[in-house]
Amino acid sequence: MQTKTARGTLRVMDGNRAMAEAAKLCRPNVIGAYPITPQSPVVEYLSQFVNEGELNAEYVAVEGEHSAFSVLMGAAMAGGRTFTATSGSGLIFGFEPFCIAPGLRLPIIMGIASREVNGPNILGYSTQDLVVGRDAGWIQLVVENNQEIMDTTIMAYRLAEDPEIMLPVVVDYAGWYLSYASDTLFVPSQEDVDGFLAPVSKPRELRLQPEVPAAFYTSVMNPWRYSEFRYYHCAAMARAKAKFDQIDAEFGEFFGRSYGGQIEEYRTEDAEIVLVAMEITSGTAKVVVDALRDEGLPVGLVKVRMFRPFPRERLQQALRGKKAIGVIDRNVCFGWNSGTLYYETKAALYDSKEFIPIVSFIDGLAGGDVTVDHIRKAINIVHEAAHGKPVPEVTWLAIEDDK
Amino acid sequence: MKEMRLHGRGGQGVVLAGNMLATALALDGKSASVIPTFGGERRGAPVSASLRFDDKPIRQHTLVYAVDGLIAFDPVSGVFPEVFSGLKPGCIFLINRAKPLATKPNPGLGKVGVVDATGIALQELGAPIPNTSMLGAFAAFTGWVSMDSVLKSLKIQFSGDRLARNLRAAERGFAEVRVMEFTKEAVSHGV
Repeated sequence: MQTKTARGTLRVMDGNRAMAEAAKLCRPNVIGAYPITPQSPVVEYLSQFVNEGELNAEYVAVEGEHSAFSVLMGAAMAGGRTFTATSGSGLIFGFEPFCIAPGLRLPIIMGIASREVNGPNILGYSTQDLVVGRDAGWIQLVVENNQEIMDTTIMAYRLAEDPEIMLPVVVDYAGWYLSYASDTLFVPSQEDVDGFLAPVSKPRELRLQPEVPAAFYTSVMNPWRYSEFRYYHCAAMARAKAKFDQIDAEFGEFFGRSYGGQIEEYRTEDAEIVLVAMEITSGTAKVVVDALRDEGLPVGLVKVRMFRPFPRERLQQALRGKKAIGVIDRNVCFGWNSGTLYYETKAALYDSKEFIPIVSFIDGLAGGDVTVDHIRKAINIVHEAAHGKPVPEVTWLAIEDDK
Repeated sequence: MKEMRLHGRGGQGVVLAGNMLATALALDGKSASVIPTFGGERRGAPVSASLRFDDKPIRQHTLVYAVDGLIAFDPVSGVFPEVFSGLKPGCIFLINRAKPLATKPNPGLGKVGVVDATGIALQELGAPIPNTSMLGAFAAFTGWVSMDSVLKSLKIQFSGDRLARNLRAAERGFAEVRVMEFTKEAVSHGV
């Protein structure tokens, strides 16, 4: 369907198609990717775009994710714009170069259709792969719907290739629930995307060129120099937070859609209790927040869009003065035995010097549904915590159903 | 907002039908979202798709638990009891089968429609893929989506000879769907 507006052309497509179309619009020079459920169609679409001449890119049909990341490291060193996509176990298969790329400050963009990684069932959605990849040094962005997949991928190139940032970026979207799910969305025009990416589309100053020898990857570096590299890596991570807010706002002026940058605040201003969530759960949570508001309960939602670097300052600000907070995770932080976003939010609140009760909810593992009923149940527990009643620190909502 | 489920088996084009129906609804000016559920891709394995449409944007990313409408792509698994979970009052039911239904497959159902979509598909496509004839039948049976938009969504999905064959299959589904009339006594569980 072709309903063209200033914001783009209205289409219906699934999340994988949205990811592939977004990558195409950003004109990568080199693509290296290996198919894995639930991401496979991204690879199929991109190879088709290149094969049919719709996209002028070097498409490398790699034999696995380890090779995909390695190929893109070389391409990015040579100054190329790169793209790959993977999922769960595929990410883990490529973990060695995955961890090396950020240290080399290579602005690779990767779509991850998230998938469960812990046995006994790895064929379903959860954000456990996001959590497993958390400490490798990538910037991690997490999206709620197919439109956001498309828009965030375009923003990701601006962020990754910014000379003040120069870090790889993951755009994480729900496997199955978005990757195979169709929805209406606007596809921006090529001209508009070219215009938006123009600030980072000039040839990079530092790149691998035969006539200008430079070392990009050396195992003989002394530890002091290595620490200096990591120090500047962290400094770039810190800059990425405000930079992402700025890019998101600029995207809004360009395309008429913006998402709040690091976090989106939904009806939080006068809320007494607030849910914190990421990914598709935040969409369903908005529906629940609206329903409970109609019932007179002052509840709001903070959607975390940037998981690394962690939006500590923005969260402190959004959650200031609230009576209680509940955090919903589709992952498990082993050892803390809570959700990961939960304990990170809790750590962020430590600096705010006020005590706010905060509780963890784990749900939606291995493709399980985070239902409206589950979110209502979670809010009830947060409500009790707000009124000083003793509640468990962690509630496994799917297990509660059986009680 | 209307909430629906499409039930069938791997290979019957359930996921694609969901996409095409969502596209048709969007062409009608609605917001639509469809979430398919399946594990590993396998022919014959149960597949379902949860579809929502509304005049407002759809933000809920969950499966559908309370249904206004059901489409069953398989004559056998289409009447398994779990298909009928969460019926809203008057939930409509469209099933692909060659013969009419003697009894209502679930007492909670409202209007019931039958179309021999596999028969049409075998004749028009030469393959037992009933999805496009089911979409045509759905447009006629419910009026929830315009046939014009269903045909347009097929034109986005297919081209050439495959398009021509699928357009014919959809038109035949539209023309050949029958609404079942049941006497009250004939209502039973199962078929």
